[in-house]
Amino acid sequence: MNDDQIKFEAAFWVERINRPVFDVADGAAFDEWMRSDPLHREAFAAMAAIWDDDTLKRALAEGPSVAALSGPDCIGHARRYYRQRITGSLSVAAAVMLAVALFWLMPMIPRDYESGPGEFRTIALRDGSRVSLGGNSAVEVRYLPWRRSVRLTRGEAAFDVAHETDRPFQVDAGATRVSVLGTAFHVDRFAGEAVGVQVSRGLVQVGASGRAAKLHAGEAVRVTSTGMQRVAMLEEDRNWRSGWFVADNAPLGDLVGKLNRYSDVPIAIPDKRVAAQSVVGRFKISDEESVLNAIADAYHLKIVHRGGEISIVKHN
Amino acid sequence: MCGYGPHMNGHSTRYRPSKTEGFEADDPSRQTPALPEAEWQSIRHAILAYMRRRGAARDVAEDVAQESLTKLLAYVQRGRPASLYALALKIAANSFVDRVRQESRYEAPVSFEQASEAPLPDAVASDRQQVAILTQALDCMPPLRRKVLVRRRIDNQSHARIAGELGLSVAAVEKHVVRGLCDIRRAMEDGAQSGKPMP
Repeated sequence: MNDDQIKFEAAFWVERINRPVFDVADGAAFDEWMRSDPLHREAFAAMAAIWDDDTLKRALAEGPSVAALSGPDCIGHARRYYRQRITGSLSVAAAVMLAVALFWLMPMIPRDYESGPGEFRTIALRDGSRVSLGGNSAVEVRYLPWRRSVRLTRGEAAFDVAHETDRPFQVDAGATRVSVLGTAFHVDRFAGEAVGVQVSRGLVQVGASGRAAKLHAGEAVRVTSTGMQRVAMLEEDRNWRSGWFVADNAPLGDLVGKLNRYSDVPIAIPDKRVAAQSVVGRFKISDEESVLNAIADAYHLKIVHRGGEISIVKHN
Repeated sequence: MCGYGPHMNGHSTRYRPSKTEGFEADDPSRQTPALPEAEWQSIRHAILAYMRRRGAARDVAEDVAQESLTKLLAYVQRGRPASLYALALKIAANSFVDRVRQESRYEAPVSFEQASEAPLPDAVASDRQQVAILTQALDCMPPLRRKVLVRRRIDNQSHARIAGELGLSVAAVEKHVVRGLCDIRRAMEDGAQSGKPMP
């Protein structure tokens, strides 16, 4: 199934880059897609070669062949293809019905994407929407005929959503749900159940534990188990991959959540009171060591390296 | 310090709207014209894979890749293109077409009589087979999809024009091209499999 999805994406990009206008955003997304996986490059090479090769031109120029009316040939074609996937012998009609069903079902099967520490990935979805994953982050994407849904299972991601009037785009981050029709926004899972949502274009609705709020472009909220709070949208939120994080009385847990997007080693705060302690400053989160040293100094904390994990604890 | 222009001095907290989203202006290595080694390798891999699919011999593919990367570097030093990979593959495709043209100018065409006496060259056989497979795949498509492909690939018409003349949306034109490509790819894979002798 993944193989088919990659081929579909390859065809999408071949179609895109053969247009006279290929904008910077498309270019960056295409490069990211090519860079992220050798299988993508292979699939793209095969698809682009089909499009560029003169064989296609010749076959198209010939016009429909006399045998074009031989419908059964085509059905046989489809049957051969699907028999590789479906074991057992099926009638032609059933195979075709299954083929149709599979075509609809394919995007409905959830697909997982994830990124490693310090790695950014952009995923082009089939409707033209784009998901940009932060470091150490993961999403599960599922497209249904009536809903496009993404679960942010870990970390953070920004979404640039293609407008579809009848099919909302939903992002679930734990108990927080963001629903949109076409816009760009960023969702961040912090420590505990805290979630940050920032909107850079359009309008989204954020719902959590029975409450909902509408966010316009330039607005942000922070959702915790106790409720939803409007916060200022900072430059670093817009440019969230800059490697910087600005904490204006943010809980230490949020800062550590950000550090974990870059860190090879998980960083934990065992004591909830320490995690809730508020911090102020502008931190270069892509350089975790300097940040850890800075907060240890400033807030009288101790950084403990033990067994492949870093803990932040109180100084005794 | 590194002299990348006035916007690089210090970590200004001002929001710079001209900055591309996700672009790390704070990291000078991203601003240097040369690309990281891994990126070159990845682009090279894309070119080689593409050349192989175009049926180029190994040494030709290597030559084209080398030449394309050199040209790409020259472009990159003048300014960052919208897409490195798209540009690299465009350069490679052009270079390949030039080479094929040059070759055919010097080589006399092989007649079919001659070819049928000697073991049939792989290229000729697979070429004819490919046309047959493509013709069949195109025959099996909805006629509208075929029309869209003809207008896009042969007449090089714009999406807007095709959409207007066939009464489709631009998105539908795109969809037909993408699905058409998938149909052809699938037919070629099936053809390749049925073409193999059974064990």
